[in-house]
Amino acid sequence: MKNLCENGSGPTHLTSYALGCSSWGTSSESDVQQSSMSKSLSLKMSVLPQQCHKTKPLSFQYQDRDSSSTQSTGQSYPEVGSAQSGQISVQCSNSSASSTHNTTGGKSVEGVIGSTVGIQDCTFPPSQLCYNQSLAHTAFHFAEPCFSGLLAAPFVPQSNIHHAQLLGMTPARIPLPLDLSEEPMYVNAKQYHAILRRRQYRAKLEAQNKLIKERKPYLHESRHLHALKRARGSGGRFLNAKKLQELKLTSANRGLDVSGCTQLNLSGNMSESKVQAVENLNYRNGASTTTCSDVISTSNSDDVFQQHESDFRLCGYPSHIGRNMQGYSADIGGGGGGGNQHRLSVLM
Amino acid sequence: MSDAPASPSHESGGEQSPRGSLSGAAREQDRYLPIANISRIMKKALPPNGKIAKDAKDTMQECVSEFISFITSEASEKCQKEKRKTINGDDLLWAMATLGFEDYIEPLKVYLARYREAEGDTKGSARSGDGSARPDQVGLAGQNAQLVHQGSLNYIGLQVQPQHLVMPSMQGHE
Repeated sequence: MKNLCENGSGPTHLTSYALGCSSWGTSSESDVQQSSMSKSLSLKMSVLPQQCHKTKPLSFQYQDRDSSSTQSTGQSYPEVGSAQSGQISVQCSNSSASSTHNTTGGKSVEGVIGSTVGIQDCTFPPSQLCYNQSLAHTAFHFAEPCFSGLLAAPFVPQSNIHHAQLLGMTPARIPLPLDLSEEPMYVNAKQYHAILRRRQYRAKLEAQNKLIKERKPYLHESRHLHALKRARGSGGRFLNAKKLQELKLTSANRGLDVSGCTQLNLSGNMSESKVQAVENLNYRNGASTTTCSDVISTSNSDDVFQQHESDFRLCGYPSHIGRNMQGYSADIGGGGGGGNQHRLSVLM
Repeated sequence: MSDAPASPSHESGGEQSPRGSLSGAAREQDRYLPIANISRIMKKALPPNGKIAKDAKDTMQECVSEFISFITSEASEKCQKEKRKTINGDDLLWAMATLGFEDYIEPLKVYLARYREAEGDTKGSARSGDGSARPDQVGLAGQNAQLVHQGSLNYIGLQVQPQHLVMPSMQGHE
């Protein structure tokens, strides 16, 4: 239905542009007109407005004024007059082209008309006047949406042009039908048809069950498992090769018995990794490099504190063991300023 | 009435054969751009210590993917009317102008001209067939080339971590 309106407004704009508008506007409107003309629905629908106009000239004019006042309050009366004359010429020019396409797409066109009639009935109550003077039921079924649409939509592009030229304001907005919300959502008139087309496409994908319902935290299982197995430092970030070697040297020097804590470490790793897997994958490699350089610049005792902190975070010790760990850090922390910083981080 | 528009394709490499995709459901990489590349672009506009929330990345991923489909469907419809199978950069510029994104036209015209000078016409004319691959290739070629390159860097970065060692942990008390 809106396509027909777009079709009708094209020549009108072209006529007004011929009087002295910019060439860009003219070419743009020519493209719009050309694209609109080729649509079979528009061509088929364009036959009916002429009949309506012939049978009901007075009511047509009445509808014209009503729609004009509703759509654009800024317009003056002479502009409405010029628009009306443009519409008449549009109908004459379209009739010959429409006759060649009357037989195409009958079934699907009827389906579209069925949905359009419902929308138009809600939008334009005054269109009921056409029903009283209708010659036949079938004629009314086709006439009403054409008549209402023809009255309403041509003024929106017109007001767009006038506002753009005279006031330099943003173009007017056209109501977009929504099933869920009660009031319509207003969108850019240029994007109206494209938005409807995208909606149809998404509905088609929904019918074919191709829309993505829920997002998976990862795309590839093997990569996910690999990330779970990687060694992590403080804050849950991955360690690079240099940092791993330093950890090896530290653990070798201390000669600690790690068999008892290994199981706890594994379980802690698994539980925490599931929570942080998606987030950690997005971390940048530069950040871990910065962390490594910071660690290199500190002394050996600071490195021990780093290890303490990571152990506390990864193993998930109970609270009382955590307190003991803090005390342990405090004992060693008497050594220097670096230790003081790490003590603060442990307490936090 | 309009036919189904072609959906955009992903140009960035590094995507392995998906094992996690469910049968019957569409793959995420068919509908969305890679989220890592999008977040990297977003981070360029942030200060060095800035962070981006997960839902912000997801929202931006859906927005940019829908925007590409929006522009491409308009260009695709124009090509169908003109009985052409290939969408080129000029079609995308026309589609943006038609949909009200006139501010994008001038910068992209300059970009498209420089791109064609640098790459030459042989590469562009050689591609044919499915129209979905072309709009990203021509209109956003520089961006995609950058993404592919950074993707390669990411892949190389993974090789830096060949060893996987569980961190040794100490006793809770001495």
